Amino acid sequence: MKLSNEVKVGITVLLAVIVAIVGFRFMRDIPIFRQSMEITATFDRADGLSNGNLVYIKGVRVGSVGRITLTPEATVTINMRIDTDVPIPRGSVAMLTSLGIVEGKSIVIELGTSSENVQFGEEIEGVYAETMMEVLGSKGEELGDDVSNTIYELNLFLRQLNETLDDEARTTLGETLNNVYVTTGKIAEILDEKQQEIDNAIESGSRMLSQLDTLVTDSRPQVDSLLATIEHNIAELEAVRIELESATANFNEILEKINMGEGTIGKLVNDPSMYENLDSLTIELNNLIKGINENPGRYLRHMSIIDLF
Amino acid sequence: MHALKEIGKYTTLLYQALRSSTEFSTYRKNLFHELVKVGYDSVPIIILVGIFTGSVMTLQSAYQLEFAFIPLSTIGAIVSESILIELAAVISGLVLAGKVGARVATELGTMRVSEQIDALESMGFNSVSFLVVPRVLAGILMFPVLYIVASIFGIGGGLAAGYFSGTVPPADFLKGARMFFYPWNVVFGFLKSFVFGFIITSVACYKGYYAKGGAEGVGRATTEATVMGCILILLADFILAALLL
Repeated sequence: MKLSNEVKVGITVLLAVIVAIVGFRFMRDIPIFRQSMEITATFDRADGLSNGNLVYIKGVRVGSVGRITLTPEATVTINMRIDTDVPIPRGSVAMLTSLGIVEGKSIVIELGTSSENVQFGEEIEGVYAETMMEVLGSKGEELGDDVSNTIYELNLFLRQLNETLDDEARTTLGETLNNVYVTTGKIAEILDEKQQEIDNAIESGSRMLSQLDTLVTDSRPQVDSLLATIEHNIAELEAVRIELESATANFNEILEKINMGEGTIGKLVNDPSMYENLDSLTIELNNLIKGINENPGRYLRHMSIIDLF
Repeated sequence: MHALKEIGKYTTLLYQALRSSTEFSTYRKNLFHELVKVGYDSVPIIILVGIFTGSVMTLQSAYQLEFAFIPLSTIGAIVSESILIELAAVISGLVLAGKVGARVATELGTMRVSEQIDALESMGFNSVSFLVVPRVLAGILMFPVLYIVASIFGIGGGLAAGYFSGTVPPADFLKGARMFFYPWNVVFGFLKSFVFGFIITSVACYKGYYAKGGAEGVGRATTEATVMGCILILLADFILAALLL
């Protein structure tokens, strides 16, 4: 079907008008196809409230703020469009408040308990609720004084601290820190330089330990047998010691007997007469040998070689 | 001196158009033809302009406000407000200065240099009423319609861009858009589109109607119509903002 120019224009304009009206009502949050209920409320003041702000009942959005007018009595009358099937009883209170710190103002309707409901265009009571920011604003001066006092005291403390840390102390502190810094640097340098050696030392140490370990493991049987032998020897030594002990006891006994003058040796040791006898015998023998030397014939007269054989 | 003469000729042409606007029977057929040309045929490009403007606005606002400690609904407020006050009217105005302005200037310029306008005059037709009035009227009547289309698709495009890119949920976007929706902004944007429609078509008619010098003259008239249209749109935008906001 070929549309005539008139029809095309008509369609375009009509659609635009419909879309504009629907869009406008949509953006204003007015129900698109029905008349919404209007009620008013009067407040002492309406700081921050503007046309289009939202109206809540128990946290649910039910409408928006319409016209805001200043009355001759210097109060503010606010029109609200409410779109809800929930009836609003007479005696309900509209509170002008803010739902959050960053949110704009809005109106919260606290439902009353009356059995009669508010009719179109009626007025309900309005209460201006101070928000946290406003309370903060009025209390702000007090708070500011406190804060400035605190800061003053903090300042004082810092100044005292500054005075305590006089120039000299600060210099010393600085130097000390500097020294520590230098020392740390040197240690790091030394460690850097000796790194290789330290590595080597650690390596050779560990090598030595491992060799020792091998050695110990290898020679274990020998060491064991050696220890067994030593043990055996010690046992024998013990036996020898016991024998020696008894021998010594015997010997002691003998010596005691000798001391007591018992037996030949005892008599020999204790009796000087034998020594004297031997002494005199020796003298006699000396004399005899001298006599023989001086006059062998006398003693060898009857002695001949033949006789001897 | 030249500029004064131009302004004088322009004003005279407008005066003639105004005086002859009562001769409805002369331009009735032409008016509907122009309404279709200016309005109906421009709807697709305006839809495109609207969608892209809105979605780019959303993405860029989201990017710019990414680190700020503000609710996401602010983005919806920024996008819908900017579109309603400024972008829907001005950007479609600039696009149509190219599309409609160039066409009107070329049509009238060609008719002038091929002496068709003189022929009309010699046949007893009021050429201003026959050619200029329907075109200017079409601009005045159709630009507000196109403004509505651009606004709807701009806000819709912004909403969709926020949803599909995951930056702004539709609920937040709408909340912000509604919270800062003031009827005056729509009236203001509407007024702008009236003015822009008038500027574009009247300047194009003027440039085309007084074109001279063959094909080159038509080309010059078209260029001047487009450039002057754009400049005057920006100027009018500024003046309206300064006067009415």
